[in-house]
Amino acid sequence: MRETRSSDDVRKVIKIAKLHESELTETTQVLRFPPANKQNENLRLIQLDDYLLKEIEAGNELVFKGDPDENVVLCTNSKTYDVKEAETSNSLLLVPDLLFAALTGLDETVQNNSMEDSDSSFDKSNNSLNKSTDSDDGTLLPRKIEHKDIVNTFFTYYELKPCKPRLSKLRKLLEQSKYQGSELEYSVDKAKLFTYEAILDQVQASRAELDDELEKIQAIKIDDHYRILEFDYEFRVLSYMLDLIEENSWPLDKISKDETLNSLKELVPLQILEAMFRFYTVESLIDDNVQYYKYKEDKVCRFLGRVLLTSAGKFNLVEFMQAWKDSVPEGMTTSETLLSGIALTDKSTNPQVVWGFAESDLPDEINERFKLLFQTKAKWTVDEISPYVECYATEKLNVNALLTKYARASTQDGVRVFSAKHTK
Amino acid sequence: MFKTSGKTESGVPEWAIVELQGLVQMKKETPSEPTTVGDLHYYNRNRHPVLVLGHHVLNGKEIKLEHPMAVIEKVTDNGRTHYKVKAVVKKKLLFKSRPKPIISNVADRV
Repeated sequence: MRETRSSDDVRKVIKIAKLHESELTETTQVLRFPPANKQNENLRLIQLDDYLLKEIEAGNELVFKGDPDENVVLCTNSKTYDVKEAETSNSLLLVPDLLFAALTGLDETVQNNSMEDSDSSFDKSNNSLNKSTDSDDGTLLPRKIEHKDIVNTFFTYYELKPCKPRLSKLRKLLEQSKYQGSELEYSVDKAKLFTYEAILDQVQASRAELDDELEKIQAIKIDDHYRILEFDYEFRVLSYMLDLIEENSWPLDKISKDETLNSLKELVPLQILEAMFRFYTVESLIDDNVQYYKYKEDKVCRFLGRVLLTSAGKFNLVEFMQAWKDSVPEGMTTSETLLSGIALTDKSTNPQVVWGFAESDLPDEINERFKLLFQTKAKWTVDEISPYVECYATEKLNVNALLTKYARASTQDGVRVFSAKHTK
Repeated sequence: MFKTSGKTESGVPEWAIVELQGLVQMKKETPSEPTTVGDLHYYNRNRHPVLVLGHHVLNGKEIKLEHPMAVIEKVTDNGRTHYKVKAVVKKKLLFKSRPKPIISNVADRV
């Protein structure tokens, strides 16, 4: 077998195969397997969607991420994709620089006919095989021969599906080094402090998704490292901040940021003050060219509610509601609906009780979580259970679909409730 | 942990896939010279590819991939694994019809 083939070699085969050179475009591409040492075993095929194709064509970075015990994901700057290997029974021969028909000297005038149904055209070309061999050789110019190497043959490729970023690891990473105040910094293991890049490296999420989550879990950049605040410390700082309202007799919608930061900078590092202010306030009004803020009332109330609920055990609901109301700044309104996702109530008992039950304390694994939810409370309404399971919801699988899959629906006193799928 | 990044220079080349049923077997497993697989022609009339492969003629067609593909290359340097985007594939030549055997007396290349 020769390394390169000449026009005559190719013509001979055309004739043996009973094809007609006059029906073919002027270029023949000879497909070859390169010598073993030139085959590239390090190539992989990945299936793209339009978004990924654009990202690649724009030269943007794609990153594969995964520990040995994790399924690999592919991240762009803003999205995360699940990676799965798919098999095909066909051989996929990968050929760089292969010329498609349009580039092999195709006559422009016939291109319009090329849309005919392919199967019938197969038949036509097959018919032509049976025609008598007319003489194609001899007087013609040599055929254009191009040799094309098959860099590898594939039987598998990778399928990508958009998925939710896997963020539970982020909290685990940051929980090892919670910030508890400057006086306790000496006790923090410096090896457990993470920079942004280190976190991005380890968490299966894109930059944009990670940024959102860092803000959501209230991670604060303190001296290059992202930290979350210890609950008690967060309470301390928030209390300092809220105390200023009364001290300065501020209206609730006229909180001064400068004043807040200035008054507390001796007590709390500025990075933390600024972040806490951002987490807990929104812009309210501008007076005399000064931007004023107001506290996010629901957020403040929920946090202070959690503070009251931290001690284990159940509380008398009526007493709790009173204590809670007394704990928030004057003018803010507490209500039972704000307890959704942080506490559960039982109204069948006498007295009625409430106890702390936080989403963040539940198992990550969905089956275990449902098991625990139904152990805690046999029957849930959609509104009650939603805060505990909506983290699993996706565009395709909303909370209702999740409940259909993992729970049993029934009706109790005209209200739709969900209970465990398999009860003993 | 393995983290890899695929970066392309602008203007990613477009490669092609030739999809065949079954497997193309070579006589020698590890040839030191390039081995010819077959001759690929296109019909003037309808742009369809025809591939002469050993004793067989395969009629195919050019198909736009439903999902384009990227060809990525695993590169390991300094113990870190990177994937580099080498090319994208948007079209393939699919040969799914039954190969037609060539009936002739002699074939001096197979």
